[in-house]
Amino acid sequence: MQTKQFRTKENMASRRNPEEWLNNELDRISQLPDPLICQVLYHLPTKDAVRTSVLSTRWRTLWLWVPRLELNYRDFQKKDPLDRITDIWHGIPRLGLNYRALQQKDALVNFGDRFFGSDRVSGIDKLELDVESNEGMDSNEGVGYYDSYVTPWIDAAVKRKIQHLDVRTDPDDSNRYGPFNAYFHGMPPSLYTSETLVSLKLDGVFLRDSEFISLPSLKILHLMSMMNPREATFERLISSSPVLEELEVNNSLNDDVKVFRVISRSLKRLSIQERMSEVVIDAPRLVHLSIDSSLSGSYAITSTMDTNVKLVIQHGSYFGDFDETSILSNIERFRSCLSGTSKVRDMTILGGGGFTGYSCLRWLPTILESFPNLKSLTLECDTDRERSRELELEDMDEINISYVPECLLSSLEFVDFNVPLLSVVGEMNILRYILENSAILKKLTLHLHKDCSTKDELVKKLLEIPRGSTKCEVVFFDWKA
Amino acid sequence: MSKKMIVLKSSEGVSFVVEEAVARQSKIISFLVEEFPDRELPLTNMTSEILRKTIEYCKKHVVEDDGGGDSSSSSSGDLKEWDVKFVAEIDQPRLMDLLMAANYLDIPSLLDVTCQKVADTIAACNDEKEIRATFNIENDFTEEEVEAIRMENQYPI
Repeated sequence: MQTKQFRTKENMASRRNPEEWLNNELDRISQLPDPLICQVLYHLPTKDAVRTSVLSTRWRTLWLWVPRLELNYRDFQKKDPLDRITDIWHGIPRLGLNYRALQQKDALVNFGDRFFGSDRVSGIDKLELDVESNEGMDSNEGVGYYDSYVTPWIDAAVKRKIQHLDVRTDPDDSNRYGPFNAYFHGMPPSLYTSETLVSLKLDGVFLRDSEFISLPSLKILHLMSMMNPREATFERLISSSPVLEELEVNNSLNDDVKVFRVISRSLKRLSIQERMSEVVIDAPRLVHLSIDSSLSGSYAITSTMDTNVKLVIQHGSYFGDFDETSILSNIERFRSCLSGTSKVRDMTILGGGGFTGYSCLRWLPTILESFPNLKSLTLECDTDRERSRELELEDMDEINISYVPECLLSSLEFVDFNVPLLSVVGEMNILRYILENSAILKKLTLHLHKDCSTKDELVKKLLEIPRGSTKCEVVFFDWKA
Repeated sequence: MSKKMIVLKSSEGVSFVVEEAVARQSKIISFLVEEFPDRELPLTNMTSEILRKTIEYCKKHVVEDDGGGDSSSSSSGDLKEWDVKFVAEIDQPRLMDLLMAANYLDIPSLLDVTCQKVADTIAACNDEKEIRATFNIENDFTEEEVEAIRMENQYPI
């Protein structure tokens, strides 16, 4: 946001006499000039900023000058017992006739139309929209997408030099994944040629295919659950954004896309969660690459900087079931994806299902085999969830995997096991495997759960594990989510 | 190599000697230093108390440029924590002064944290009465007028 310089010598030097000193222990927000109050309001969610309009005459229209707007359809749903019943009704797809629900939608649309239709001279820096799916439109070859009330708002925001746009369609909305494509809001074509847009985050909306795209300021692009444009449009989005630094593509490409090319001179961070058969990455400045273990194809990194890339593998529960054949075939499939990443030295594996159990010990060494130069490994679990009893019982048995991947023998120096340790079972097998087999490990970092009742016993047992490296220290921290 | 120092003078005439790199976080000072090198800068509308606070903030946020490039980025989380503590320890009248000082001297990051603190205080209030009480704002509306404004806003409260 551009800050207008507003100097008020009177204000700054106001406390010149004892009376003022004495009377000034109350706050003096009212002594701030209007542009600074707007600056304060810019840091508030819209609903709190609107609330200030009733404070006094001076505050009445200040919020309208704040170049930021967040609209969430949930705020327009009135909450009384009767409405809860209508909410339940509203959850039934395509009923759409519920009077109160329509009223609520009207309230949202009226507010937005008035806000964007007014001749306010100030720009809009930042717009965040949470909307329901584009209900009730017919899918006549995409025409219906542009009957959305959202489209003209965004068009107006582009004209007012928007910098940050975030549009989300409610993921809980049962209409969203319905069989009819019409439930998506269409983005206006003007969005493709915004000169001011810095950050564009779209979730569950429709982007038209376009031959001409020019986004000279765009640095951040997130595309989630998009309505199927051709991959050519995606690739054009990337190649037409000369300063793009961060790209996230999640479940947004057509199923029939075979190759997805990410070619960028400026890209630093890339996250892809798609199921296409091949990803070609030519991004020499890339420092952070995040991929999903459910990817079915391969990664080809054609640029040369890959030794410095920090790799994150988002590992869901895909190898996690106990059926031997499917674990092995899943691991093999994923391993074949990784041929382009062998120079990676720093890797994080985000394990949604934790790192317990037999299956973890099956897949981890195999995955590590693809990284013969790995120096630093982080295993991370971001949830502090209850783990099943069954897993823990199974871990009571000691499992021996004799196979040791190359990086453990020759390059791995740091392991951060960023998982809340709660008991002596669970992760013990995988930790034993790492400690026993890593020949030059310097440091293993462990994190203890605050509810760990057997802390001393756990620490003792972990420290008793024989270490393959003479230089290895084991350090303990409290686990922070 | 010794670091270049400059002198800032508060409204009470108290001189503060600071490293130029620290003071240059203010775009205004940065400009003045180039226009008028080797001169002390009189900040006639800043009290010593607020100037001291501002310098404290700038000292913490100065990026040591030893050719290390992005070396400071690793501690950005710590810096944020420090900022939160920094504004939490200031009482509200002084916070307003600091906010205006950040605007006056054009220190965007300090303006940002002080505005955020005031915004958080507003957001923590339960209703407009509490906001008025907290910030000593005089209500010049009747209840009917308040209702009319709510209707006009068309925003659910």
